[in-house]
Amino acid sequence: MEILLSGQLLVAALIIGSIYGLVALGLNLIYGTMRLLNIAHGDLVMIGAYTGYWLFTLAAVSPVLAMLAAGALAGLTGAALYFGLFRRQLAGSQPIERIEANSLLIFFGISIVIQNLTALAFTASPRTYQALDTLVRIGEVSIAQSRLVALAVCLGLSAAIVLFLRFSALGLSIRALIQHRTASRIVGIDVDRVQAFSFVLGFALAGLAGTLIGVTEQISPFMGFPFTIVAFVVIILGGLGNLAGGIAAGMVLGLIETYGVALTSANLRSVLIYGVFILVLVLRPEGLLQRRRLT
Amino acid sequence: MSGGALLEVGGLAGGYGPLRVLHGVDFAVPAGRIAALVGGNGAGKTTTMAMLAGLLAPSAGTIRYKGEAVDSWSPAQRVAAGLVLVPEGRLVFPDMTVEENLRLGAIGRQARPHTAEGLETVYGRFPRLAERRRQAAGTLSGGEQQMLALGRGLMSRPHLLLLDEPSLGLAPVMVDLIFDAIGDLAGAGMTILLSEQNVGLSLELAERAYVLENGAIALSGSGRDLLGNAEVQRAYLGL
Repeated sequence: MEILLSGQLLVAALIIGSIYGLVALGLNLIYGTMRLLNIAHGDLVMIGAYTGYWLFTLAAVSPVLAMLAAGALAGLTGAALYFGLFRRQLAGSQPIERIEANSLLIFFGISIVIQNLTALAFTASPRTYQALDTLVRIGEVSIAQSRLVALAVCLGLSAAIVLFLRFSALGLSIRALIQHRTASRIVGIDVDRVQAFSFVLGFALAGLAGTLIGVTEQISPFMGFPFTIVAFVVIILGGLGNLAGGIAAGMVLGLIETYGVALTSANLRSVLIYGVFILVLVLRPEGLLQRRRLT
Repeated sequence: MSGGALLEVGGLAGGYGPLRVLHGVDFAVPAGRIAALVGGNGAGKTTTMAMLAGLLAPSAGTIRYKGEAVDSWSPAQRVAAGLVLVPEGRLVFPDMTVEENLRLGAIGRQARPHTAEGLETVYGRFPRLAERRRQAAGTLSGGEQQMLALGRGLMSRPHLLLLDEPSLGLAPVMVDLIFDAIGDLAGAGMTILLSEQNVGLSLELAERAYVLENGAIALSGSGRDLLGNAEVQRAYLGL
């Protein structure tokens, strides 16, 4: 029981929660603005992890810098996919529900292609590397520098994005597009520009988070899928398209996972995550943190 | 620009997928005046408005605004040029505050620098919105939402305001309030295209009026002429 009260466990939960929040934020942005279900989201985490690995192994680049390169690489991937594939679909006359259903299949294909190309290029065997591994002591708690960096970057970026959405004109346009697509067109929002921005930002966030994840976890071509699942659980918890709610939901899931595993066993991690997912879908399908509509 | 018309529509046709709603609609909106597009439910008024705003592509016909063909313009380009729709059903952003909704009206590059003066004008015209500026738009009454939708349209600095069914579903006292505002705007020189099921009220206001029936213009004339027209009286005014 003592371990449950330790600061160590709480910090571990906050770190995982902040990472989940940031990964899910990218997925939520893309779903919210375009109703695209990006099943390949976790594969961008994987791309970010490999970027960090190779930059460190080949050129001794710190993950703190590598994460920027990973964000840029994932963002470019996003730009290529948006302008090459999704822009035409979204501009066409088909209903958004059909695009939503199609996007699931398209991204499923993209996911398989990314995973297998990575396996071909770098083999399927898991890799790890040692970077930022000095232990930092804060009071009773000691944590690896890499995890502290992950916590700071994820919380800082999430907060920055929430402020950006609240106070900038582009952020206002993004929230408007999430809430009402037709009304957004009526007021003269440049929908194509907002979509492209959201797509690229969503991808970049996943890539950037991937570098931070790759420092502490095993890297393999197939590491992404669990993050896709976690991200979907988080955005359903927080409410689809509710960006700030998703960040809070990431924390909630991090706490549930960490304390749940400490109370039971690490083998039950997936059971816990899917359990939360199913419970929320049954009890509050509009999301745990979503305001209920009055009208 | 021929004959002082701000908007000229010719042979407008089309609809939703296989469903053809309009079968060649022609009309014009004179600059600085109110023109009305009246008719029953399903006549094609909202479809026409959606095509004018660029939300729906017509299958045939042309739309000339300020003498220029705008058929290939995006909705954002049309708003930037001052062609602004206040849609049927209001379509406010329900989870955003009143003020955020108004700010979104001025989101275009042309209108954005004038956001502050726009807010002042709209709050001056509708003090009720000023009282509720921090309230979520979804919690407003129907009439207040209509004020908000109209205010949001004004924030875009329109030259031609397209008002689609502004009185729909409103209490009589709110209808009066909204129509007073429309009259004031016209008095100040705004060009307005008003689409309404409330035929009597619209014809009283309109300089130029068109009766839309089954996707085509059945009658046209000055508002006063149509008010006196026996067929209009029988079909729309219940006289």
